[in-house]
Formats: sequence, C-alpha cells, structure tokens
Amino acid sequence: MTFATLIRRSLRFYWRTHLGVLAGVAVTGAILTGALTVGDSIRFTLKQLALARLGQVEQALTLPEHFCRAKLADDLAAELHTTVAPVLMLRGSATLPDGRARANDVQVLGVDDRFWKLGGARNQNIAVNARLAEQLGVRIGDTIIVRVELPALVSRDAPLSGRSDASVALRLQVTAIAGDDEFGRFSLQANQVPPHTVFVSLAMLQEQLKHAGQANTVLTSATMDANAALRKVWTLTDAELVLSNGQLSTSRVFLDPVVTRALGSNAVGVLTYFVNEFRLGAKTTPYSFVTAFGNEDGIAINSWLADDLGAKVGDDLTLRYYVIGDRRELREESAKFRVSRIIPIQKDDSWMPAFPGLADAKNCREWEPGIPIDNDRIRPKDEDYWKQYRGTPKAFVSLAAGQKLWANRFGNLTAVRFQGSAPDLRAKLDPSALGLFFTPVRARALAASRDSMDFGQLFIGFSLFLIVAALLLTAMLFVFNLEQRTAEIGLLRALGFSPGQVRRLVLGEGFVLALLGTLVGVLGGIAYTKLTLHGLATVWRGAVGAAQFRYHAEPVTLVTGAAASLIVAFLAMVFVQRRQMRLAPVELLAGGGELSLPRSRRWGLWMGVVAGVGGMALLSMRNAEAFFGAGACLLIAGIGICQWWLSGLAPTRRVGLQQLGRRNAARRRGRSLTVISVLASGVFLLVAVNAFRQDARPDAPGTGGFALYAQSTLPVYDDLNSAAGRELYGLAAEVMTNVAVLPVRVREGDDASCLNLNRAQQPRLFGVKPEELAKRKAFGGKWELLEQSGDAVPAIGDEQTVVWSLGKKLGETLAYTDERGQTFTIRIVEVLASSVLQGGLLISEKNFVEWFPATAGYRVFLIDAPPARAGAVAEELSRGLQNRGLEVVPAWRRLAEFQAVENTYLGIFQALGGLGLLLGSVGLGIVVLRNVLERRGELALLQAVGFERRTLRWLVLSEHWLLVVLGVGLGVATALVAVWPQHGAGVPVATLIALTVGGLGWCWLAAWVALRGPLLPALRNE
Amino acid sequence: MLLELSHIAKSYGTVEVLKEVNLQLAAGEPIAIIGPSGSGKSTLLNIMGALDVPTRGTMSLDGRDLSHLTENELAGIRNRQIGFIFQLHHLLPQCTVLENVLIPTLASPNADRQERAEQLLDRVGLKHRLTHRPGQLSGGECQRVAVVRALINQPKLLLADEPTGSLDHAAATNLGQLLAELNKEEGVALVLVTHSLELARQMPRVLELRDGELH
Repeated sequence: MTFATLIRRSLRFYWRTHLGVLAGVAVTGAILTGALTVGDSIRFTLKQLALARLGQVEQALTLPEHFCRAKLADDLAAELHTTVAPVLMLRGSATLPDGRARANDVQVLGVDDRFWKLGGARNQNIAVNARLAEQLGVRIGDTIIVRVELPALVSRDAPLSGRSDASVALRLQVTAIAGDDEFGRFSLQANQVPPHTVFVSLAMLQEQLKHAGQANTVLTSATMDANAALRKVWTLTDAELVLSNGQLSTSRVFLDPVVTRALGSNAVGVLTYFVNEFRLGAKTTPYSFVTAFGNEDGIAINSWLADDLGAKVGDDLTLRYYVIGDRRELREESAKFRVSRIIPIQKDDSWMPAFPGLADAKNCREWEPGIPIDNDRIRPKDEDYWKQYRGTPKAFVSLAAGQKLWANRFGNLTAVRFQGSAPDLRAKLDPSALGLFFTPVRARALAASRDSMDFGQLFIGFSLFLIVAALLLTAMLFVFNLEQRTAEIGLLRALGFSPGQVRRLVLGEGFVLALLGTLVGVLGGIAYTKLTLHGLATVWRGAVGAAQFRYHAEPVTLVTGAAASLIVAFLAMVFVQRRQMRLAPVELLAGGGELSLPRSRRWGLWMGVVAGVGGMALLSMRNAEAFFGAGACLLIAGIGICQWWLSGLAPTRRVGLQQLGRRNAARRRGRSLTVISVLASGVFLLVAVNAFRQDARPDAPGTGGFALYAQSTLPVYDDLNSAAGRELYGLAAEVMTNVAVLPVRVREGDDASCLNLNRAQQPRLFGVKPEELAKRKAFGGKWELLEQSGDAVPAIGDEQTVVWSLGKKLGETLAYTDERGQTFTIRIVEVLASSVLQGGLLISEKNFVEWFPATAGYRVFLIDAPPARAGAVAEELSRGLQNRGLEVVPAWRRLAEFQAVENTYLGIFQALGGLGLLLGSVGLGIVVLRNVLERRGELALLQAVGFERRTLRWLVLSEHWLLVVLGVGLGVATALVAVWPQHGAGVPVATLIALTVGGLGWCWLAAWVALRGPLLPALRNE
Repeated sequence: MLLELSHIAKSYGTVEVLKEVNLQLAAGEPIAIIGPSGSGKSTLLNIMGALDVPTRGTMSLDGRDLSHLTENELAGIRNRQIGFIFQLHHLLPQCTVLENVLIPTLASPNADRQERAEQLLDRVGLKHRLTHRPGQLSGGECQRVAVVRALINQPKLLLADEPTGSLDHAAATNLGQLLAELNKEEGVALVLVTHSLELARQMPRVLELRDGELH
C-alpha cells in the first residue's frame, strides 16, 4: 500500500464526482490554450499573407514622386547576382467601360518578367488581382478603364509645374486574374487585406505615360544590403540630375538643397524664373525668363528687351511674377530693379530649366506652365523671340536678389555652373540623400506580422471571465468533493497522518485531476480555436476585415497553455482545501459540521469599504485600465458587503419561510458568495460592455464637427474653397455655398487603424494646418501643440491609432523615414478619442512639407457642410472630382465603420462573457442541488412535522432566489457606477430578465430534482 | 504507568464537560468507561487519543507529557502508540479490506506490515475477505477490519468509542469478546467507552463518568 495506490483507488472510486472537477479544469485549459492558439493562428496567417504579398522580394527602392532608370535594375542585378525588377508603381482608379462598377485607390503596376519571377508566377500580361476582379465583377477577356495621373517630374505644388490635373486613361483587356498564389497580393504595405491591383506591361505603361526607360520602384530578392550595390551603380540620371556643358541641372526644375550643399566651392548657383511682365512706365513685355546669377547690381537686360521697353541704364523696371502659396494659391507679386547695363542678345537657352509646359513648347500658344497665360498679351514679336531665342533670359539679376523673390521649398537654384571642370558628382553625392535607397521591406513585413495585435492575449482577456467562472466552478466542485469525504480526512488524521501528509494525498488527487483535465482541455482548445477562427471569418469578421485565418499551433504555445491551466487549476485547489485542513480531526470525523467562513462579519464590511473607496478613486482616472480596476474593486466591495449582510442574518424571534430561507442562504456562505460573485461578475461584464457599444451619430465628437469625409486616389492640388478651384472642377456655386473644405496632406504608409491587424511600422502621416482645426475646436484637440519646435516632430493621433495600432503612449516617440531616407523622430503630443482620422498620425503641414517636400497635393478632405445639404455636396464633389477618384462619405459613417470594429470586439467579449454566465448558472444549479441533497434529512424532518412538498420547494427557492437577485443586482449596480456617465447601448434589460428567469429556473429545477422521491427514508438514515 | 490523566478538565464555551478527571492505566490493562449520553465519554476518549486537548490538566502517555507537542508530533504518537476504533467503522470505501488495514502504515512507512495485516485479519476470521471492499462486508465484519486497522502498528493503547453502537446484538457480543481476547494476545491497554453495561462487564475494571469526573 502506497500513497500512489491510495490516490489511484480514490480517483477510480470517486470518478463521478471527479468528472465535474475534471470538466471545470478542461474548460479552463481549453480556453487558455485555445485563446493562445488563436494568437498563433492569426500571427501565422499574417506572416503567410506577408510572404504572399512580397514573394521573394527582400528589399525595395521606392520613389513615389520621382523616377530612375529602369536599367538601374540591370546594373544592380549584375552586382547582386540575383533578380532585380524595375516597376512603375502608380495610383489610379479602375472602372468598367459603362461605369457600372468602380474601384478607387487602385495600385497600377507596370511590370515585366522579372517581377513575376520574384512572385514565383508566370507573366500574366494584363492582369487584375482577385480583389479588384471581384470589386469590378470582371472576368478574363473583359475590358476595364484604368485612369492614372501622368507622373510629373516637378512637384505639382512647385511653381511652374505645368498642368495640375493631367491624367491618362488606359483601356485594358484583362488577360488574367492573379490569385493569391500568383502574386496577386503584391503590396509594399502591411495589411491583411490586399489592395486593388492592375498589372500591365512595364514597356506599355512607360510608353503610355511618356516615361520610356523609367521606373519608380525597384524590387530585389537580394538578402545582402542592396544599398551598397546601389552606391556603386547609380548614375545622376537616377536622381534626375543632368550634367551638361559644365552645368548641373535637374528635370525636377529646382535642385534639391541636398545637392547644392554637397557641391564644392567652384559651383556657382543659377536660378531662372518665369515672370509675367517687365514694365517700364506704360510699356510692358509679357512672359519672359529672368535669371538670377552672380552679383549683378540691379538688373542687366538684353538689347531685345531694352528695345522693346525703350529702357536705358538707370531706368527702374518693374517685374511682375507669380509665386505659389498654399494649395497652389497664385499670388502675383512685383519687384523693382534699376537697369545696370544692357547686354547684347545672344541665344543661350541653357539658362532655362526644364519647366513643364514651357521647355517643349514649339510656340507661345502651347505654353502650359501651370499659371494663367493671357494669350492676348502675346505679340507676334514675342512669338518670334521664342522661335529664335527660346528660353534665353531677357534679364539677369543677382542670385541673392533672385533667391529672395523666387526661392521655395523645392529649392533655390535651377542649375549650378562649375568654374573649371565639374567635380565627380557621384562621389560627392549620397544617393540615399536623393531618395535613392532600399528599405528592407521583407524584414518590416515580418516585424509587422510578428508584432501584430496579440490576439492570444486579447482572447485571454476576452475569456478572462469565462476562465474565472470555470475556475470557481472547479474549486467549488473540488470543495464539494472534499466535503463529501470529510470523515475520511478526519480518519486519516486520527490514524496518525500529519496535516501535511493528508494535504499531499488530497492535492495529489487534485493534481492528477488537473493534469487529466488539462489534457482534455488542450484537445478542447483546438476546438475553441477553430470555433473562434470560424467566428472571425463569419459573425465577427468586422473585427479582422476580409482575412481568412488558418489554424496553427506552436508546440510551445500548447505547452504554455497547458501549463497555465494546470497551474491555475491546481492553485485553485490548493487555495480551497486549506479550510478543510484546518479543522480538527474530531470535527472532521463528525462530518465537518457546517464548514463556513469565520464567524467574524466585520472583514466583509471592511473589505467592502476599502474596495469601494479604491474603486471610486480609480473611476476618477477615467481610462480603460482604471475602468477594469474600478470594476473589480466595486465588485469586491459588493461581495464584501454581501458577506457582511449574510453573516449578520442572526436567528430572530420571527420564524417564517422567508426568514428560514435567508438564514439557510447564510449557512453556506462560501457557496452563496461564489454564486453571487460569478453572477455579479458576468452581469457586470454584460452591462458595462454594453455601455461601451457605440452608435455613431452625425453629432458624434469623432467627426470633428465635419459633415463629410473625402479621400481621393489622385492628389488634388487646388483649393476647393476658392472660386478658381471650384471652377476648375466644375463645382456648382449654389451647392457649394457655405461649404468649407479642409484639405489634408497624406504621406502614404501603413494603415494604423483598427482595420489593420499588422503592427504599423511606418504609419500614414497627415499634414494639417493646426490653426484651422484649432479655430473649429475640431476633435477636441490641442492643435497648437503641433506647432511646438524641438528635437522631434509633434504629432497627434487618436487612441486606436496610437495605443492599439502603434503600441505607443502619450509622449513616446517613433522613428520615421523621410523622402530622402533620413530618419527623423515623431513625438506623440496628444491622444484623441476615436475619430475619423484613425489610421494615421497628424503633424503640422509646415513639418509635413519640410520632411516630404515632393509629396504634393491633398488626398483627404474634411468637409463642413450644412447638414441639410450634406448629401448634395457629397454628390457634387464626387461628380466634379470623379477623375481624381474622390470618394465622399458622411463623416459619421466613416466613424461608424471604425466603431463597428470596436463593437465587434465588444460583441466577442460579451459572447464569451455570456458563456461564463452560463457556467455561472450551471454552478448555481449545482449549488442548489448540493445544498438540498445535503439537507434531505432536514427537509424530511420538515415534511415529517407537516410541511407539504410544495412548501419545501418554495423554501428551497426562497433561499436561492436571493442569490440570483443579489448577483444580478450587484452586477448591474456596480456596472452602472463604473461606466457612468457613459450609457452606450443602455442596460440590456431583456438579457438580464432572461438571465434572472434562467437562474430561478435552475433553482427550481434543482429543487425539483432533489426533492422528488420519498424524503422520509433520509430521516431514518440520519 | 502507560497512561496518566491528571486533573483533566474540558469546557466548550461556558459548558464544562469534564471537571476533574484523574486516571492511571497500566500497560496492557483493559478498562471500560460508562456513563449516560452527553456525560463526556467521547470527549475524554478524544483527549486520551491526542485528538483533542484539555482545557486544563495534564496527560502523559508512556511517560511522555503530551501537552506541549506539535501537531505533527501528536500525529506520530497517534500513529505509532494509539489505536482507534470508532462507533462507525470509517473504512475507506475505495480500498480493499487489506488496504484499509494498511492505511495507518502509510503515515510512517518504515516497517513492512503486510504479513501482520494478513495474520491479524486471519485472526479475526477475515482471511477470505482480503480483497473485498467495505461495501461487500457486513457491519460486524467492517468493525472487525477497523479493529485490525487499529492494531496494525502495534499500539500500546487501544481506544474504542462505542465500537458496538452500530452493530446488532450478536455482532456486538462477538466484537466484545474479540476485543477482550486481542487485549490479552497483543498486550495492548484497552479503553472501552460504551453505554452498554453488558459490554463493559467484559472488562475487569469499569469506571463511570458522572458530573465530569470518573468514579
């Protein structure tokens, strides 16, 4: 005979009663391992999706606003000895020819065989990915219209950048639909939802866009640092620089200050600008080039201009010219110069930079410089000048004077001339500073999936109540088991077993049960995970977008879940057996008497008061963590007070069924408090979570007071508040009356909203004018904080973006890469409540254009419109800016989309909480049954002295309905206090009534089962 | 003296159950304690068996004062020096007869008691029941198993608390005889608490507990 034999015998003999404990542990184990494997499955799926969207791509060079040679890919391939693919990556929209279906924000990719090789797929010629095919409803052979913006060499925000809305429509016949395994998910942004994508041949797209031999993205499968190879093979052309005849210029018109700073002392700057007129008295010469160069004192004019104006040395000439303000606002300004000398005319149009719309114009009528040109002012002699001398400047001023007038954020030089031989520019310039650098997209993608929202923890959090309910049930059944064997324990003590030896026996048995339960639980965990994944794919799909998750479990996760389950279940047993072990052997031998909590009733009151005060203090902090803490404290307070009240139900002189029932409820206070605790916690969860459900309304603070939210596929450069801007897009003045459009610059990045499960690495950035938002008190933000200067760029984001998607807190920073490959720091200076701007961080427009000077135009619009006309305004804007791919939605609806995700999470929380309540009510039924079975003798006595069976049933009910009412009431009361003044979707009265009725039903059923059959034999057994 | 009780008193709240109990018991000596219901017989037996502590007075067993021993030391004494027989047999239903007898050996598993268990069971006429469960035995048989369990560790003192209380007359008589015989065979001192005068008379010395004192 050994301890092990005794444990084995006991396990076998009491298997029926052990089944309950085992089931409780199994439920705990299933939830713990299941929740953790939900996390595994989602991480695994996100990783698979990341790999599917990148194929073999390891690093990518992206030039969203510029172009490099497509041949750069060949040069890099020779260095890297691996596949390097040039890609033209543009944004556009796709429609069916008849306009029945449309997709905005389409990724248009010009690719060749090398791209498909990286994706492990065959060249699909003209393909759309499955998502776009579904959106448009197209099949192979169908025709689609794809509209893309003609890429500009010069930022559209720059002065003299040509036509702003030039776009081209491509009519394409779909030859393939690229599925997920055919690189159809290709994207450089981390998101479980693939973009809408059109794949066309690189050569065709280059030709259509008139960018032969150019690309703006280079992808490689090289695992070694591609930047080292890039430094070896890059050319000036890749940075759009041209070195010709001792002059360095750029097809971007303005030389990036990075370039000019890197040049040596033999470089002399040139700034050539287009002026509207020269005026001397009443005489004017329209539309001419002026060059700022050297140290000219005053203005030197050529003889043609001198003749035209009749000017002589010493005359004061007035120059009128446009400068470009915010949102392409043109301001005509003027400057006066005294004629210092007259120089002979000599054709030299090398001074003129490649102004789009001017440089290639055959005659003045073809000029499209992006500023208004009054053709009536152009005289035949001006045409002759253009024909004969092209862009030869008619005047020269000093470089300093010119820069004072025409320098802008894109640069203050249009060329650099070298005195003597030009230096080795490739050696002097760092390609990354010019935007030529590879980023480790694969590493970032893997990091984004690895650091994605931890669904394992989330579901453990969601299931916490279920776990606690299962543990309480386990502990309660374990105690019942022990109570049933009290005499056995007493006997062992009487026979000379020390308390430690008895404890080892009891816990040995418990450990085996916990182990077996855990093993069953691990199997149950698989079912839990699969069910949850099914839920996420169906009823809860709002929480995860359109992603389909695959079951995946890491062995270490299963072991962790199993170990956690084993430990918590075992600890629960250790905790509850202590009381039994404290009883004297004599008491145990006598059956343990009434095992109840200590006689003292004060501890409950003190616990209630302390926890209540703590809870109220936490409530005053008003944040999510504090809410849960406060909720727990308030519940503990309520339970403490219940304990105090129950233990105060002393015998009174009045004896009625009610009094008897209440006193019976107080007899087994441990059980009663367990039932009250489980019910109250579950009800608290139901009511509190319901209060956080949000239904967006037009006046919701998250809309910022804006009626509409719009997003365009192609940037809009013009001010939609100005008459000119509205005229440009044909917006009806009567519809747009009293409508204000607040444009927002957008730097594309990872979507940091609740719709993206990946951890955003480089979140989308929004550039806003703080004063405009501050004036409106929009979103309740302290917008002036965005104008703070310091070592970091101040940023504001909403709670979902900052806390959940980025994992940051107020005051924390994140590193961001600018257009030139430079890393700068962004500091979170304020966290807003959930808003329509979710998914990105807001910085001031001033900082935005400083770090992203080439990112032109606006792509997000916050629109203030009279509520009654909001629909008409949305329609008008959608119509007018259709070619920009503008999508206008009511701001509250966008907010509702985000809130739907949060509501889905709350729904999951409630569903799992509901399961916990179900367990709680099972516990209630067991308690009733147990109480009645234990007291069959007592009840038999009551029957013997004349009580009817029906009366006894009422007696049992009356002592247990109190538990239901206390549990439900406590849960509702604490929840309402905790969430006040939030009301959300209100109190779920119907659910609570159903719950109460269900609880009473359990009581009745248990009483009925326990009291059926003859009771009097129980009296004889006594 | 094997057992010495000196000025033992025991109160529960304001109720004084034992007032002044003095007793000396020699090794191997059998006695019976009788008394009306509620006179404190079981309380006294529990104190003798180190299951309960007196409110006042001292008790020594085999010359050792038990007043200041720890819970574990008392458990050791109960296991090695005292054997208990209760009114209800308290056999573990999950164990066989032999296993039930061997249960006390688990607490101090130094000696192999299997052979002794089988011999004792044979002695009480239960050799054919070794592998049976308590549920398969009669009340008298169960109580005999309980007697063997009490003797398995060769205690010096055997305490029997109304051992025949739940048995019919014949079984009670048999058990009484068995206890008397085992007392002699095993040389174990026996304290038999009963309100059955018939059973008490089988013991050479009978004491009555009355008004909290032994007479």
